[in-house]
Amino acid sequence: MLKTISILVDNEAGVLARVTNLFSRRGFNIDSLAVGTTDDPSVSRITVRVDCDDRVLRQIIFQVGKLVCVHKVKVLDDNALVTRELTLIKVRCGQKERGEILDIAGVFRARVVDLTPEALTVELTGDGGKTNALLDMLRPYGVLEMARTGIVALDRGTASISDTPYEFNADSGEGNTAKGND
Amino acid sequence: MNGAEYIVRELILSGTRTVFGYPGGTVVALYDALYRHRREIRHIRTAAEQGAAFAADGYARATGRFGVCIATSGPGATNLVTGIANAFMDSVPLICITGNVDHHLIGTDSFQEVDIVGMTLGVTKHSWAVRSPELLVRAMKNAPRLADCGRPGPVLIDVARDVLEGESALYDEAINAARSGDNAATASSDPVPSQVEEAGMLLNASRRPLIICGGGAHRSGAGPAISKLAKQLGAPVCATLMGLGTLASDDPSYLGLVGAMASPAALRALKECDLILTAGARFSNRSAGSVDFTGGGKKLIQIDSDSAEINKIVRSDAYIEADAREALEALSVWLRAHEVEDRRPWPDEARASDGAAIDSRPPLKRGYIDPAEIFGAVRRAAGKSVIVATDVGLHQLYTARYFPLEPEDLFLTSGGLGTMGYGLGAALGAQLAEPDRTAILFTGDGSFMMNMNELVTAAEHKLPVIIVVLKNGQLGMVHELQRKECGRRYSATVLRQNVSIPKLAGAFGLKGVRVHSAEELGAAVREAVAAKTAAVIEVRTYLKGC
Repeated sequence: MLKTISILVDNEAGVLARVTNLFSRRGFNIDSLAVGTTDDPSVSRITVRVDCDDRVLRQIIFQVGKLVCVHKVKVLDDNALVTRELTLIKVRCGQKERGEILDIAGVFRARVVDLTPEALTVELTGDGGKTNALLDMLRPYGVLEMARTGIVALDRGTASISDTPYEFNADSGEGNTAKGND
Repeated sequence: MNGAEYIVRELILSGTRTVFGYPGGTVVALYDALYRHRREIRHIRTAAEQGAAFAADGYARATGRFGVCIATSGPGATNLVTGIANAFMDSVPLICITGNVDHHLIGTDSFQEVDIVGMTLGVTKHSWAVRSPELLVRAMKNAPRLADCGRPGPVLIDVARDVLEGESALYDEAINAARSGDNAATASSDPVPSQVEEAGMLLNASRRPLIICGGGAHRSGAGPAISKLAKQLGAPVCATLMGLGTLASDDPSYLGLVGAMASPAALRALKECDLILTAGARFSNRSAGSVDFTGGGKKLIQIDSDSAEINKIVRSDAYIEADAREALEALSVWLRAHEVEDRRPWPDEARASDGAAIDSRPPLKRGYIDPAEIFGAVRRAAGKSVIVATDVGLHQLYTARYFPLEPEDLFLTSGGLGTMGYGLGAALGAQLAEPDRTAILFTGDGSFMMNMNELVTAAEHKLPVIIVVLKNGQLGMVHELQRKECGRRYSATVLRQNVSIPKLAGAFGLKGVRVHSAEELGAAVREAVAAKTAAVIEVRTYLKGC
């Protein structure tokens, strides 16, 4: 079962290492990972997608929650979230193929961000399924390289990670205590 | 003042009187500050940094507050790692301070540089890579609370040499603030009434409840609360290795150990009960691996102050996320309010005490002492309220099962990590914290050889630790595994070492004796206790694998 987890952390050196070290040490397998700052520059948001059962999910929440650098942990509701991932795909593209490839890009609403006589790079935003479909279409032309950002996600509507009952105070000496019930 | 002076003053202000460590190039400023303040804070230099970490661990277990160990960069810091991991597994509060190279050299593979913060990520509650005065102040302000609060554990402060040596006005401000402010510990959260109610209802419905106390129960001083609850429910009580000593060994409801070396009475109760209440136990494979907690409609109630331990290994039917003592007291109150008073104890049949019986042992050679007699003889000779430390191996399990441990004793053992060589350092640290108590280390001929270098620390500081080396010429636990699993091919587990323990002790300037009977053993312990001197006692014995 793929789960999307949002984690608010201190925006400081070494914090990502603490979180990923915990995942690897406890054998939690990361499917996708994205990190960036939030509207508060002292806080970063880690979005991590994990394939796990309920027991492991609970462990992830509480073990991650114990880290002093972690403010909040939330498992996003699969039925009420928006997810996006940005992908760059560079494909071999001579003059002959250019028309076809531009057509394919158009169908997927991918934007061309670079073009040379031998190659073309497109940018695609979407969820994983759309990216894989475009990739399948471009493969026959020769994909030279690609890069994905990893999934970022937010709750739909006014719901947000600040509502989550799993709240942890960083550096307050209470990093061990989960507030609220599950 | 400089960073080093600030660290030492902050430690003194937090009530620290003894620290353990080993000097080195990057921490010269710190040792200079310790020298300046030597009348306010005592530094104990151990033989190696690992011993300093174990001593700080023993000191912390004795005082109930964080212990401090200090090491230089590189090998000094890596020598602490086993001690840090040991403290992490057994939830012991430590503040580990390491020096590192000048901050502009970090990352260049300079002399004695290692990434100790990276290496210890998985075995610390938190750590700080201090490269500025701001961060040093933050680390020193938060470290004590973080180490001690909630589920205790080790924290690491890694300070660049130039931060230790550099002056900053921030330090003066921080010290003045500390003098005027209060350093009150954070109160733990009260048990949630709905959780208590749910657990209480299950207990009320149970006919044959069993209580298992772990390290969390022991640390929170839950003994009287467990005794009371056991009486109310008519429930027997077992302990994990880390929970030993929570109840007196002759408490009528106490059945003994679970896990490796479980008592027969405990095993029977585990099978027959219809509900298990665990308090501060974390279901490690060592103590819980073979137990079926939920089979046959059995219910499980978990009490733990660390919410991450709830349902981590076994799914419970109810849980209370709180300090063990507070949760157990709340349960007692709830049960009384629902008119549960002193039920008839189960099991009905007399609880056969197995303290004295060690079954099916082979005939002993001349000069060998029966293990059944060793622990009683030492207990009688050592008196009350003793510090009992062990290393790791068969002698550890024998001590856990057969030494009649009482709540006023202090039991130091490496439960989670199983660290051979832990005992001597731990005993020295605890002895420094509690100079008036008798400290006894039970060790084996394998474990003793790992860290016997710390005899020099005992000798230098005249610490009257009594070391009982149970010599059986084997690495007993692994030997036993090889007997069962490797067709008796005893690879590297037979100790054909002809070390004279008395002579070895003598070389360190300590008294050493070899005893040949339980009477001689008792006499040697009594003599050392009376004279308040250290003694290393060699006992030849036979320990049966389990």
